[in-house]
Amino acid sequence: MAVIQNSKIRSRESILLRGIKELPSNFVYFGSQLVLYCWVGFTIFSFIWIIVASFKTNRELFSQVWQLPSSLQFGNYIKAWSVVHMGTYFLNSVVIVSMAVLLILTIAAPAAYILSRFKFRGNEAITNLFIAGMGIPYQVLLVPLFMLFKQFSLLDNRLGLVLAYTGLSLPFSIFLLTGFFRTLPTELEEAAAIDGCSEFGIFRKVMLPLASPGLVSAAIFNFISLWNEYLLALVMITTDGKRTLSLGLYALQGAMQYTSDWVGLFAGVVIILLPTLLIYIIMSERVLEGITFGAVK
Amino acid sequence: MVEGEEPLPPPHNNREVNVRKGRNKLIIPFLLPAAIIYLVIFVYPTIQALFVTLNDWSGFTPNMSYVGLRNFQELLKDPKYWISVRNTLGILFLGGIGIFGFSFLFTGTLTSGFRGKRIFRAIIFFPYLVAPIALATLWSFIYNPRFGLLNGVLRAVGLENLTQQWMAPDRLYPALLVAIVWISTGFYTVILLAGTDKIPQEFFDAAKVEGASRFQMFWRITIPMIWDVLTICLVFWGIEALKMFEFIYAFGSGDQPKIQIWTVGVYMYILSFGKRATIFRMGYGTAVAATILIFVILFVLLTRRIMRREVIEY
Amino acid sequence: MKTLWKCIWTLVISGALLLSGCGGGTQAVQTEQPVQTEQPVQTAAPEQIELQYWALWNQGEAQQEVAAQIIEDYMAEHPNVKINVTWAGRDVLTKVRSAIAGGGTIPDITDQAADELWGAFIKDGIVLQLDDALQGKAYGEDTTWADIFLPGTLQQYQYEGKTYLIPYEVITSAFWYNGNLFKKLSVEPAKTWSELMNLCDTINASGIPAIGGDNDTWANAYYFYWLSQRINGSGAFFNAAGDTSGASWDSPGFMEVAQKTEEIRTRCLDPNFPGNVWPAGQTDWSMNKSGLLLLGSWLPNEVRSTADPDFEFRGMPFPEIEGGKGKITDVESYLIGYVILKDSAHPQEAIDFIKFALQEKYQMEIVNKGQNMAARKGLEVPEVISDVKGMFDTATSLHKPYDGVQAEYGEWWITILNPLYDQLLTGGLTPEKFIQNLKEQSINYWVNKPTGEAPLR
Repeated sequence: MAVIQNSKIRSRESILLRGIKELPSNFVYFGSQLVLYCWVGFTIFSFIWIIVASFKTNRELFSQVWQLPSSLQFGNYIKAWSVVHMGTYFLNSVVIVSMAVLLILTIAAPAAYILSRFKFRGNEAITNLFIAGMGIPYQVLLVPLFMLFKQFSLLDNRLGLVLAYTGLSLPFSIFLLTGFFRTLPTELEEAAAIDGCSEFGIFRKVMLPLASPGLVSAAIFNFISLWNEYLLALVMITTDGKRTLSLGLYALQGAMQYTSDWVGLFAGVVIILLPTLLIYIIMSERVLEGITFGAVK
Repeated sequence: MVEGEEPLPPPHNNREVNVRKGRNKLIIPFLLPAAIIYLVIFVYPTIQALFVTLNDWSGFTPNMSYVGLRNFQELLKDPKYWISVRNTLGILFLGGIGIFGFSFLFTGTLTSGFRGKRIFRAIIFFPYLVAPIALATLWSFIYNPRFGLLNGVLRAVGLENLTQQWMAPDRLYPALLVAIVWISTGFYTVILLAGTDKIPQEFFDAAKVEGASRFQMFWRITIPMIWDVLTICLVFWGIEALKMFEFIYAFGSGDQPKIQIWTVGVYMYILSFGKRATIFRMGYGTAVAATILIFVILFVLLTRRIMRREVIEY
Repeated sequence: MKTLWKCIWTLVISGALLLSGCGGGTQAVQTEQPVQTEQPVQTAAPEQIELQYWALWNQGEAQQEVAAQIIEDYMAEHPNVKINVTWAGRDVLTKVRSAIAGGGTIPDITDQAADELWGAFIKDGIVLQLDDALQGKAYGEDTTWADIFLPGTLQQYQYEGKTYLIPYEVITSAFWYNGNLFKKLSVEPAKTWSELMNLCDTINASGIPAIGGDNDTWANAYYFYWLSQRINGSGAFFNAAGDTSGASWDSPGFMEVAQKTEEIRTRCLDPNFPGNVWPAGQTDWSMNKSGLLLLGSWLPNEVRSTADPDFEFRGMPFPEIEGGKGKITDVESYLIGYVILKDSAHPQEAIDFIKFALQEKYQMEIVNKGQNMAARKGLEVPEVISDVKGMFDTATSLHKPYDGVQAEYGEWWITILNPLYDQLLTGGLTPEKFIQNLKEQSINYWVNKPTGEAPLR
């Protein structure tokens, strides 16, 4: 595609003609803006609705669906938090997911570093083996995982869940991080080596900091997907006190089906949403940056 | 300081640089933890699961009876399996068209310089973060025929005769698709946007001078420049669509989704676990799930072939 | 940067300590028992026994509170027994199954709907036979234990004449309606099909749809099975479902089922029905936006919080059909009960606990708190379902929900009948097409099945 053009040719066309020519694409542009506004408006509305709904009574929810509640039912939240132990679940989720994410990074980053920048026999095969894991639907692994963890007595154990989450998140994390490490320039490596830095030192002091956007991206990505994970937790955790937040939401939905406490469910939803929302508001730039860095070189 | 080393030409490909002494020492310790955890927690259970597909097993007793490939023979003849395949592929392709269609639309619109780009981007992305159960509940309220948002809006603008039973069986699948598109578009928009942001502005400036319309700029500059990113997104979507489970399972009435929205993942879950109906056929269910893997492989190969072309380095 | 890493690692280590150290997490509810793996060795005489009970109730449900009370009282009376309860929710059998498959800790006692227990445990013989225990005395009473139950309930889920399930709650299904609405329209509950049709016409004329509800597959199937029961009698549907030749579907009885379904759809059913996602339909009904609703006896309790304050909950049994074999006094008996896993280490204590739970005072808790009917005979029923008592008092026979088909032929039920019937009830098929498809697909189904019989378990 030629970039340099004869600008003299351009200026000969009249402005009017140009305007008419651009009409269809302008039209598309404004049309797409309209779609954008509608989409965004709808999204905002939906979430405000969920939050408002969590403050209603059940009867209000079904009879005045789209109006504001007559009074704020904070009791819904108190009930979700204490009766259904969302508070405990919250703590569990925070600890379990954070630990899993840290563990994932600690394990995946070095591995990705090796796989992306070192040449040795079997490199590609190993990389592909890791990445292939992304395609496996993990519902299939539920029962084998259960049996495995039973053997190691790691059932109904939050550390066990951390390990399971780590293992299952490796494929994607390695995929992301290898892609990222590959883009880092070698010059700095060379320079550090010449300066007498050990290989491990190079990794720790030079490459890792350079890779921090990718690491952040992997961290955030894993955090988001593990925060909402519930199938594996469902199978592995039985004691109530060890449940994660998403399990709590799931149990809440179960209970709600038989108590018809819909507003309670929405309160639970908002509780589970809150951390993600806060992280998102405070760090949305970082969050989105992080996610994109991994995919976009 | 390293003896005997000649200055090397700057490496064209990172992978050629392994000549520093002691570098290879890192390989094993760095790789080992990940490899071990992966093998134990992922690969081994997968092999076990594949073994289960060759058995008949209720999951309640430790007894399995070996039946060889019979599960696969059965699923080839199982009309419900093929319905679920059709539904899954529908999500993959129709949903994909919707998602990428809107993503391109938004990417083209939210170019830098667009006021409020960041906020819009953040809002579009948001549904992806919400628990699927919550989203399913939200959509059942939106689609409700009597007090739902959709019908309410239609009535408000005088289009009463367009109001529908959005989640009636014959419309359940499209209703699902719409919801899926709404939830997932944000994710891909964000990534594509980041890709577009990397395109040097000079290209666009030059094109404007040249008299290219916005549309032409989009088609001729943006798309080719984000080709790699696009490929990754497509692969990612393929895997996500084929594996998608939680939202679909929660969508619609009752304990289990209606057959109109059975995907392979849902069918597998119903066969193996389920809620009310006591099927408990883990061997057959796992075999069904194993076919997802085949689809994934096919899709990835297909996508990579279609999207293959020279890498533009910039 | 360094301090950041220090912080992170401190977090990690403390997190690890947190997770591995406290086994039970924070204890909030007094009835929650932490799982303890090490028991201090007791030198005192009574042996310390631990029972694992995995319950189908969810935390926060009224019935969970009832069960929790029973557990607490039992442990107070038997200090040497500790009951670890897991409020597993309706998925409890999935969890039990995973535990058995993976060799994890299996519960001693579990409870669920009888149909599910049948399919999951009783057929496979992995639960304890309880006939001997039933011949003993009830807890703290002089009567034989077997005699305290509603007649017929123990026998329903016997396998080869032996009892495995102890019911503690009974549910049934009926057409529910607002008594005040009927008074306003001066109508009576319908006892026959033609009366039902007339009733529908009257309600429709008053401005609300005669029959409402949610388009829930398993709820829709109530119509099918009830129609079959009234037309063909109990057991006919069950036999037809298991008929691998598909010939049963040709009988005029089933065509009549299909045709009457069509009649319900055109004459009675809310036009908005197909698009109603639970709980919208039943909530509407509780706000007097429709007249009748065919559902289980949990319905009145479930909608109480949204119902109009002057809603008078009444129920009428599915009408008799002229010329049919089923009588209006054939009552559905949907049981919820306990089973004891065969591999339980402490069967005697488990039996003792169950006997304890079946005492009258706790059964009455199910009535008062849980708002459901208890399995003991001679007790009152909750006011919202007062009509149910009459149904059971005058019952000539009890039958299983769905005529036992869901329990026995689960896969056929879910993959063949349910989707087809959904379509029939929402107008997607004609009765003739429905029967034709049902027959064809059933025949294909059985042919395709490994041994031509019910799937191996």
